[in-house]
Amino acid sequence: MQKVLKKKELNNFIKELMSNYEIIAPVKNGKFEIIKDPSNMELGKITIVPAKEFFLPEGETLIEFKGKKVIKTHPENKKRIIFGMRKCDLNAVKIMDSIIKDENYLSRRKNTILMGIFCEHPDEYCFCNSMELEDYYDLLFYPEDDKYYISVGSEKGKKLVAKLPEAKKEIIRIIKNFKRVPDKSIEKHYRNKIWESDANRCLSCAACTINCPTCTCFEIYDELSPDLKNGTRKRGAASCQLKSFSTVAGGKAFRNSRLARFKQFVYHKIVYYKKRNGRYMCVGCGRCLRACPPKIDWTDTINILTGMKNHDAKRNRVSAKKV
Amino acid sequence: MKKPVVGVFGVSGCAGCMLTMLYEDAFKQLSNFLDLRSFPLIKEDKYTGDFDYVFIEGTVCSDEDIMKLNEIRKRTKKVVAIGSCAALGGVPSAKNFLDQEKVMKLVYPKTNQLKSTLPQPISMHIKVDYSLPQCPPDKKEILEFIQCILTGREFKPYENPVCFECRKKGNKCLLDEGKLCLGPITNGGCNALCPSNKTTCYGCRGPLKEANLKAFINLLKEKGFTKKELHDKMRTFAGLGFGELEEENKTSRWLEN
Ligand code: SF4
Ligand code: SF4
Ligand code: SF4
Ligand code: SF4
Ligand code: SF4
Repeated sequence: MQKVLKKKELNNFIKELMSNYEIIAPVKNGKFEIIKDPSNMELGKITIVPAKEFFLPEGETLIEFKGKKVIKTHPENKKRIIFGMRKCDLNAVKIMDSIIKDENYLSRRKNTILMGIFCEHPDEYCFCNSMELEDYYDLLFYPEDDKYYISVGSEKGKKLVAKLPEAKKEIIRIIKNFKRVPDKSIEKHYRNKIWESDANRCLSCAACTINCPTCTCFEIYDELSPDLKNGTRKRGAASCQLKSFSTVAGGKAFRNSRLARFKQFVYHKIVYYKKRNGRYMCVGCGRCLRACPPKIDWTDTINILTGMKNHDAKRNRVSAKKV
Repeated sequence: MKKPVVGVFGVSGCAGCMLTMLYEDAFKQLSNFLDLRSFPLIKEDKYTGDFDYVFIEGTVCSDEDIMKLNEIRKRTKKVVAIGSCAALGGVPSAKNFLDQEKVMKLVYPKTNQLKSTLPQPISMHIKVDYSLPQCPPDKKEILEFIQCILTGREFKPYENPVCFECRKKGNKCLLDEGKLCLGPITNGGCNALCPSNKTTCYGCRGPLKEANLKAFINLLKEKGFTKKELHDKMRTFAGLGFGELEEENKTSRWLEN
């Protein structure tokens, strides 16, 4: 049974939650941020930057060493709610859960409640419907007229809406996508020349992986204090689009060519991860396409390879360029 | 362990690099571990022995500069070029792209005694072991370098594009806002200083080895930028730094058609 909340009551509802939780929500600059004032929320559009920094903060300290002593640091364990994630972002968290298992991540994850919102306005880059997403949330808000109809996905979520009245009807909506990637059987096309035309345009800037909500590759590095006695071991994002990523001791880079690196991104998302985990690693949020400076669209390439009717593939391409 | 003997020198530069080192508290702390024998801003230069490491700032702009460099090189195990001038040619290199006579008359209207040569990075005259470009140089990188000397670790130069750090900070891309940002072809390590402050990258850390210049130029063309705009930017702080890349990819001809 769904719960209901009047839209004009939303800010008050969020404000009340603030007494017990830190609230993270999308704001105007295209990011998720910790908010103090609910009126700063911007729920209409998908964010440019995903919320993954709240699970894998850039440059977080893993351990400290003082002289010869190693001190394990613990992540902040504030209770918090991320509001305003869409179906793609919510699924991305589930995918991260399957990859990152260290204590820091788990503790942040355990302390985070996912309060999602139905995506009313997908743009030209979205293709979540093609990625076999599932329902994954603690709460999900469906906007309808002047109300939100709230689906409950967990006990944690249930408690948050305990005081709200029950809905008289149930509102479940289906997201509209303009873009489709119906057939994703690209394994046999790995050596197809078409990938070269994408890789030739690629700047290897890593915007795609950094903005992807499921890219979790990281590197670990040490920083020393000026007196050389103490230090910290930190973790930050890495990217398979960079040559440094696959360079090992002695200087050999296993993915030396831009082509191999470009394909790694697509094949990791569509083929490799699926083989192990039974689902795609891509959630169709379109962030990699939006962020790419030369607007390379690997979903078009897949559509061409899998023989999506030519005019359909073209239409996809045109609509993707419009934004 | 014996303290490494270190010197800091400048050829034709603005002393900005040296000031960067000097004004950093961490450097003062670290210098306790160094046998600092020469540093024009704080020490008189009377030492005549050999160095383990010498940091050199500035562009080579005169015959005296060249003589000085050769002399230092002979006495030094490892030479480190700091700042964009020493490493890439820097701002003074603009002269390379202009009419020499005109520049002389414009800058020194009253004198004909000054004899400046074509400004060049120090690597065009002596062997350089390490380069730490940036204008002004990155304090953190200098410290890291010194820490490597002291702990015996190999210094690993940063080799990712400025964009990588820029995106990690969640910045909005300036290229998408119609600005000409050199981030994709510039070697990072500055923590995307300029784009994080909403100004475009001028490439002051020099070209990225892995840059896809051809793709970058195509993108700029699509966005309506001109060859001159690209060249002006590439040559402002990096000086001759992008020269090799330009040559390799024949940018000069590329942008003409
Ligand atoms: S690969 Fe692209 S579309 Fe898929 S989840 Fe990552 S950013 Fe989103
Ligand atoms: S696509 Fe690349 S950066 Fe992203 S998770 Fe896979 S290997 Fe890592
Ligand atoms: S964002 Fe585009 S240009 Fe940059 S690395 Fe990814 S595919 Fe290449
Ligand atoms: S603003 Fe510049 S440095 Fe940042 S991502 Fe865009 S092109 Fe790269
Ligand atoms: S962003 Fe570009 S111009 Fe600015 S400091 Fe970094 S390399 Fe230099």
